[in-house]
Amino acid sequence: MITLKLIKVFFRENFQLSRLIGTNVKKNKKKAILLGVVLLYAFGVYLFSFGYLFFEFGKALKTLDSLDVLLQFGFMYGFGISLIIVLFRANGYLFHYKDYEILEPLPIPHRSVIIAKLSVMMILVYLSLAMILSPILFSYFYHAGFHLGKLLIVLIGFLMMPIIPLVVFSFISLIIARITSSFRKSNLLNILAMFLVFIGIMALSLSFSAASSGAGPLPGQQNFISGFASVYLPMQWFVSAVHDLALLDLCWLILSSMALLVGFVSIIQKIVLKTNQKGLSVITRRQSKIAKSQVHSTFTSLLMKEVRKFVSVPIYAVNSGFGPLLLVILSSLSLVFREQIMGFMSDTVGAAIPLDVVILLFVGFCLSTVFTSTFTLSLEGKQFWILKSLPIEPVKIMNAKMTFNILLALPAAWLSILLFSFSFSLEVVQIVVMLFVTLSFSLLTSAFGSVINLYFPKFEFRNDVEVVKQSVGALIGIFGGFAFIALNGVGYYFLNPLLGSNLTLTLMGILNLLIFFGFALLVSRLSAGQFRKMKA
Amino acid sequence: MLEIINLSKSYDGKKQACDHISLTIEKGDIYGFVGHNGAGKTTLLKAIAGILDFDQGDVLINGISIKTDPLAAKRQIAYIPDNPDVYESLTGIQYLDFIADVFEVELSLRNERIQRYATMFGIQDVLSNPISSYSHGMKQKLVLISALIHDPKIILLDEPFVGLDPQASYQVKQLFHDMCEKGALIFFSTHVLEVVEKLCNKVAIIKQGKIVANGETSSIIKDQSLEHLFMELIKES
Repeated sequence: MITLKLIKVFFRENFQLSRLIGTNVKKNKKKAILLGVVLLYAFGVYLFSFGYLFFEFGKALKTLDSLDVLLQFGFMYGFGISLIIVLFRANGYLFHYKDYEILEPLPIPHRSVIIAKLSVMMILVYLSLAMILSPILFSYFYHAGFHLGKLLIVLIGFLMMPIIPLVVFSFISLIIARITSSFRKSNLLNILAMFLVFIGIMALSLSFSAASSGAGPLPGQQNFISGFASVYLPMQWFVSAVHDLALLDLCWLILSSMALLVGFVSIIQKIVLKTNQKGLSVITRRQSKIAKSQVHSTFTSLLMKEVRKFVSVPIYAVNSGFGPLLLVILSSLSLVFREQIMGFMSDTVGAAIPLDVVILLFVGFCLSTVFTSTFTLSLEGKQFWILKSLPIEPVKIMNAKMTFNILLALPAAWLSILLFSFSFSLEVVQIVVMLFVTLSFSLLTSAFGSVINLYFPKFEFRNDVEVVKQSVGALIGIFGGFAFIALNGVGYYFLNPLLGSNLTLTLMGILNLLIFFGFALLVSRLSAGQFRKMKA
Repeated sequence: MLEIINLSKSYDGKKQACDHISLTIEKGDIYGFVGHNGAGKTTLLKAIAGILDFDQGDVLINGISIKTDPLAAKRQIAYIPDNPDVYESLTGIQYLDFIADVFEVELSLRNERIQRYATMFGIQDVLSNPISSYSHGMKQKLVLISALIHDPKIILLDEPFVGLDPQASYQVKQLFHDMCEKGALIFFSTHVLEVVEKLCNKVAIIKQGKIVANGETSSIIKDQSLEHLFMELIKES
């Protein structure tokens, strides 16, 4: 009973609509309408990209009588999503939860707290899984034909799917946090460890898909997924249980997952208690080193503050730093693995497109993942009083945040363009045009982000993840970036036959700059007024 | 001089958190501001500091309106909140540098002030540590130093003695006196009525957003204790 009550409270704390979107929809109809449009757009983009891709893939697999491959994809994606969520969230949900001091003095059994915390984290996992898996499963049932028994097995399998990653990656997340916390620069090490995990997964995926480059993104991943299926028994059980109605395999899946879950809950009780208690102790080292002051301009000081915030919040650094890092790594690798990198980029952005445009699309895609300006104002959170009480023009604060976004993304983008251009022997004019388009795109997305954050601030949060990954600003930021790529793409599609590639791209760059100036003007006009309205 | 002129603020458009408040705090004043929880103390302090917009009235900081020229007004004030939420990703010295950069305090002056106040509060050895490793009291001291770093003429404090050790509390009170002798003014909220009686030359009592008594501390409390007066005023409807 108490567990259910706790789940209810935690659920409200984590998923209350006003907390998620940072505003009261009932009181702010304009925002609600805008939000509705954005969500509709995001859903549309998702359906027409991911959904269509799997629908067509299912069609192709049906002709080969291999529809079970779709289930393998579903399971693999489910595993991947669970892995990422657990890796990032387990520490905050289980091992260092912020309400420990509230809950611990209460007469509630630890088991209840852990089960409730786990349940809420799992709700987040299941919601994400449902979004990712529904197009895949729709494609499967559409092409294989609807079968009630299979649907029931899918639902049970869906519940079991994230349990093993939950158990394994909760511990990995704890181990990473424990190892890195003993070092002085623990946050940086944490970020590095997270990057290594992701790059490792990507490299593995790339090495498998390289064998079948040029065949599109999904067949490219097939080797990796088949390889994974051959060693990961729960995936085999799930696929055969659904596809061949093998009930024994379903039993194995349920038994193994549930046994692991029960074991996990009983094992981690003491660990959770210890890690949370350890998190309370404040260790202040007295140092003989004299602290030295340095003088900077207000703008530089604001910018430095942004940099320090970035490197101190692992989720922020990993989320926003991955795009630039990917650009630098891939462009460096292109000097050696020219064909494979080209294959990977074509798979990501689409084949049969001119080389310079493929590079630009890929760079644009990575730049779109850097949308810090959509949420850095929100990240001020409880410290927003500092900026509001200081004699700094709000527009200067916004400009510093915008500049940080540009500095985070643009140098990596330019470096990658130069390296790609060298690898693929592009002409000087092409390179100059690409650098210009990249600059304009970075300016545009950064200014767009600032406008978004001014309209959708979210200062109430317990965990930075709520702002960096789950806020409305972040959602609009990433889909907004894709929308600008699409806008450039449409412009290119229609103008290229008339004007040629370089001139068309230059025009697209100018268009981006014009929109950027519009947004920048909006930021300078809106900032003071919006700041006044924001609560601190 | 700090002038609060007919200031009103409502969060929901119905209940007034601050209801037509007018106060004048002059140079050299240590002005105590008392009231029950939710009376409107923090709202008023935040409105004066330019953190919270208000619906009606004005706040003049040495004649400059916080509404029409907020930057010029803010350059003359320092605000210290009740909860020292500061940038935990910075070290103590980085935070102080950030504030000093904003107020354009030159290096020699900021070094001298940081040295003086950090030594006074006993946190000079932890300034290179991340703020996340500070205790509540240490953060409170850091915020106090950051408020003093530009030598403000108007200091606004929300519950300044909460979380401070007895030695630091004493030093803060001494500091208040010294600053006011040099022409600064201090306006602070507190629940500790003894502090007001002993420290403040003036006092204001707020009840449900309205000032119910204000003026010279001695003339307000007359021959009774402030606690007694406060309880009587709160009882009255």
